[in-house]
Amino acid sequence: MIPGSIINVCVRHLPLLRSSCVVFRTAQCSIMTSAVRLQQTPDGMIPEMPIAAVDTEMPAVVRPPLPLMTSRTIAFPPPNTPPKQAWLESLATIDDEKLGLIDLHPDIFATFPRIDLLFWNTFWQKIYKHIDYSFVFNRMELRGGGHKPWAQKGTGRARHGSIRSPLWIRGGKTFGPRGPKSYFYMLSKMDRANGLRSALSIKYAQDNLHIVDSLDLPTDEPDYLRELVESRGWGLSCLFVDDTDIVPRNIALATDRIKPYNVMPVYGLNVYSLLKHETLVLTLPALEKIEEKLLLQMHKADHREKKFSRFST
Amino acid sequence: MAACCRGHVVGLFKCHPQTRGPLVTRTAFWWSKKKDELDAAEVAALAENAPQEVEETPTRKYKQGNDGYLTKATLNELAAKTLLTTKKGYDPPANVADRVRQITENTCSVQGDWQDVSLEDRRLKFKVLTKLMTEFSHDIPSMQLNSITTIRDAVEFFSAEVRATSAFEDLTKMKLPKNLSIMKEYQRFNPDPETDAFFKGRTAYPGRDTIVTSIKYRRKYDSIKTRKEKPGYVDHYNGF
Repeated sequence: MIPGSIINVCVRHLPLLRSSCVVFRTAQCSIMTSAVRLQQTPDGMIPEMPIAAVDTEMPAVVRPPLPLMTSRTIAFPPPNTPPKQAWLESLATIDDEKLGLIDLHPDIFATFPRIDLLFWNTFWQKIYKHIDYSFVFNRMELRGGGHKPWAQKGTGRARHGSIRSPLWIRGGKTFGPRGPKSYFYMLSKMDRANGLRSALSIKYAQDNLHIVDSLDLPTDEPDYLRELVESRGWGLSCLFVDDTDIVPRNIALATDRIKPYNVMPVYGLNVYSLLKHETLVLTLPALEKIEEKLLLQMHKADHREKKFSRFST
Repeated sequence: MAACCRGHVVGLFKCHPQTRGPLVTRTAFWWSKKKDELDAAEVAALAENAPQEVEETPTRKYKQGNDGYLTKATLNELAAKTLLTTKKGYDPPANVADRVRQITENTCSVQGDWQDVSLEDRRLKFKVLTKLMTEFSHDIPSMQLNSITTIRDAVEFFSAEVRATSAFEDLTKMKLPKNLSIMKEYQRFNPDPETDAFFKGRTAYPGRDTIVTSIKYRRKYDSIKTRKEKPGYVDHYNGF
């Protein structure tokens, strides 16, 4: 399960449920009931819902003649750099049947990777949430030590003013850790976007990037997905990225049961996850969204925000 | 005999010549020399018996990968190491060119050399490459699509071997000399009385588990769990 986002398993066949709306589950009713309530007409009539057929055998996949796509128009193509090519694949069958060829934006999938920014991104992701709760008493806060332990002169011992001075055992610590300390800061958007571009370029260059038409699986059996990933040589850990946080039922259930395979929406894409998982599988809508957002970051004119930089006061 | 700047004994020949010229050893000349000057006859005799001059070695050409200290050498070493990956291997068959030619002639109209057929048209590229992939059961990675622009490039791709084994694995499979033995696998100690014959289950580390956490290696090695659950309440957070 993915932390920090609302993953709602829902059947794709509900006609009026757009991908942009989020279904909130309540404890009392099921997903289907809450989804149905959204569709209820004002006079209380519930439209007929076509329920997905649950077949014990996997149905044969019927496709239009291949290739489905041979190219893809990319936004703001750089003038002298041709786009990069990639296969369009499918998860509908275990056999690796290619559906077509698509183009990838070279500024996003073929930049020279900034390894230092990959480090800073993973460092930032780890540390910005960190709070150090360590607290050590100083001499004022310790019990006792209010009066002089012995006379200044004549005892033969060293002169002291308090039993809780830092010189003493069990005395106060002068400059110790002082209470909850936050390490929050915001890495600049430019660096975060560049880190994502570097990580995506590395995935593409190392043959670990795959574009699929959608995350529809014929069955929710985890063995099906595992066999698919291993037969195609996709590695031991796989990150499936869809454009929204409502994903098809079967992939949600299958990835829930297999720890190294995870599914995530586009807004959850981060450098740490990209480096952690061996393979990245993007859907076409997810690819469109990622390119759009990263190109916006690269070419926008407004770079004023520097509120939470690392070394600011 | 004089001494050079570095203290070597210098004679007729330069001590540390600038050029790597012929190394002519004339030790016999020095051992036998007892007088300041030599007779003409003696010189002639020595010239006859002198060892054959070594042929001047050609100027060293830059051999890629053999320098040892350059970046290119390091990169070539890395390429040769073949890291253990989860990718599939590929052994190219002998008749790659023939099979590619057949598929090319069946799929597209060939004018001139079949190897020069361009794959710029995306539909044609898709058709040809998918057929080739099923023919050789070898997947073309997306990155390679950029470099495969003609049939010649496709032939080159399908003639290239892809190794899925590491250099160490290949070494263990080679025919090794008899006085060399390589231990291929770790020697793991499992304190199970049934399997362990040597110690019969007695362990020097009672209650210590060996957990394999890596997702790759847990397929090969099992975790050894020896710690027993204590009866009664166990505080799993603090571990007692």
